[in-house]
Amino acid sequence: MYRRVMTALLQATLRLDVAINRIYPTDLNPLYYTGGLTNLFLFILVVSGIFIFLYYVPSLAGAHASIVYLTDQVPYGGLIRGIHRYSGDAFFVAALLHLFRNWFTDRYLISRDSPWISGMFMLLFGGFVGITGYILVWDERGLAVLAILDRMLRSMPAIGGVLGDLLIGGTGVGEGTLPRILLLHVGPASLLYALLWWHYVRLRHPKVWPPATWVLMSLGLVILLAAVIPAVSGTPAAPGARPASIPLDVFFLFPLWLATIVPPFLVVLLIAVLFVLGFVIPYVSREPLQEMGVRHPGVAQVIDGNCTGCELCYYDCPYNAIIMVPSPYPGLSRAAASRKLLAVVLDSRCVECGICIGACPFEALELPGLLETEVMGRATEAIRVPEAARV
Amino acid sequence: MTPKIVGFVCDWAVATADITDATGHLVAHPSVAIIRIPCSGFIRPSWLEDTLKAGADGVFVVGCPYGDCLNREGNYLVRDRVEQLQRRLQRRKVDAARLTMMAHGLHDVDAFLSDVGAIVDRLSQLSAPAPARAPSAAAARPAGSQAGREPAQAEEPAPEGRG
Amino acid sequence: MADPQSRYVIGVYALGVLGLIFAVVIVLGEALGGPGPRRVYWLVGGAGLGLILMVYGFILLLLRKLAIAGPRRAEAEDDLRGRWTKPVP
Repeated sequence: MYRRVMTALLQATLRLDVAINRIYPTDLNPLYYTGGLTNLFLFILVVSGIFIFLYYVPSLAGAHASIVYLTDQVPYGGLIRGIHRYSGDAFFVAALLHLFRNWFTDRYLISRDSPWISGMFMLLFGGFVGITGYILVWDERGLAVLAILDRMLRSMPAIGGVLGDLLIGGTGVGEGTLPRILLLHVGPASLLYALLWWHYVRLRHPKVWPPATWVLMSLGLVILLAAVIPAVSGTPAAPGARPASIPLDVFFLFPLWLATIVPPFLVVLLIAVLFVLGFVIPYVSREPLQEMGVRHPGVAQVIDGNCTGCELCYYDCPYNAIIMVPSPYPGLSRAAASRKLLAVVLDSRCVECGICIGACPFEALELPGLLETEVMGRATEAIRVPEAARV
Repeated sequence: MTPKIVGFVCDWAVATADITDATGHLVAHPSVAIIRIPCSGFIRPSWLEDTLKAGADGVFVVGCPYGDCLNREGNYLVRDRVEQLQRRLQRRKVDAARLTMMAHGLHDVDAFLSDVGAIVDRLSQLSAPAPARAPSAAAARPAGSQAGREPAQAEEPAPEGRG
Repeated sequence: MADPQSRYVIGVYALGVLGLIFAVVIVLGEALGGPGPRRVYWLVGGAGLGLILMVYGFILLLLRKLAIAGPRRAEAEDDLRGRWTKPVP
């Protein structure tokens, strides 16, 4: 059942690819750069965020006024604020596209669980950073967001009270609240870069930046949105007042909006369940489909006697799964007898793609499930079958 | 005569299950055989060369669309290797059209089939003999790993008047 | 082949002119803008900036289709270059 759904989603993803590839050359297809786009928006967030940080005053009296000052008085302050807001939305959209694409196309298998797990953490922290951003504006919506977040945290059994106190700095909003929220906004955002290191560590040449066309178009779109739909603060927050209704940005604040209509604990539970399922995905991968019976033929094996230490496999492996070690003994074939280096496959990083086999000119690498003799046997068999015997 | 062609198609390139028959040949072009491999980067250029020497008129490799290789770089790597092999074979007077690299995604069945049709047409018009039918075929028998195919080489008949 | 090509060339020139107009909008936004009620001009300038960046991005796309600009070195592809690894039609 899961397998059928995933296959259908995969087909839909690829149909979208084919449609987009009709318009753009394939190396400009934005769906191939969802990770790079997310990174681009994170960069814009950091730069615009630093600018805003220079003007923000994290006190109950000063927060709202400082943001209004930034918007009204500082040259292009309102624009920078809008850029920060909309690239936050764009960051989340791009991250979700990245998640769905890599999920539907099975790019999390074997050693690619590293980027997957780190990505799930980044999603969690990124979402949290976005929510605290709303609070920092300290208008009525910000206060409402804080109140809902507080309720959600406190609804958790046992640890709820502690988490709620940690968030607000006590049992009620006080002078310590906003500096705390500011830390919770900037801290995890910085942590995202550490998680990005983990995200890239198992990949060779990760595509961290989109092509120039898309950098310009995305940056331009964010700036245009910031100019056309300016980000504005609502009325200043007054803790204790009960406003009639506050527009909640359902797009980003969807879980919080949900927590206003169902018990907060259910929302927390839902989020927890979704994340647990997300973390588990690489480890319960679906069976190979019928037409893809060649998947997972076993990790690549170095044929020790033939390896000459030429390093071609080491350079070509997309997952840094081959390392060169000083050769402890000479090889068997004549070319290998005088080698200085020996290739070693790190099993935990090998995804069994076979690229190293293609790179090796000395027949020193094999995939156990698909040996060279097997491949050549099939090729010669295919040529020899006479026309009449087919159909 | 229809040229015999062997194609290596990677796991995530065009889906061939629906367009091949039981023996692995394309229904639309029965002289084209398809072999599935985990990644297009898996292809060793010597295999392409040996397939030509074993009697194929042409070989092709199909990888994922550039930019979307599941293993990120396999299609670029094998494309470079195919180009180098074409240059090497050209020095031995083997027409570059006998080796082809294509990039098609899981859905690109129509584009794939039309490309294959173009290859079949082109190869049936080539005048130069295929490598296995060249006079020096016997001398070109490499040592070592080709042991299992010596019967195939010995049985290969005289040129069938192709081209 | 000439028809889409000439369409792209016209597109590049048209977008160039559009870019020039947006550059003027940016300058106007800076000249007329000020704190307080005049900050809307800053936003107008910002819109001009956003639009000019999108126009530049689109020009790059058209240049790509015209094969004047090429792909990133690490991702060189042969669709627009007609290199000999493609099957000859």
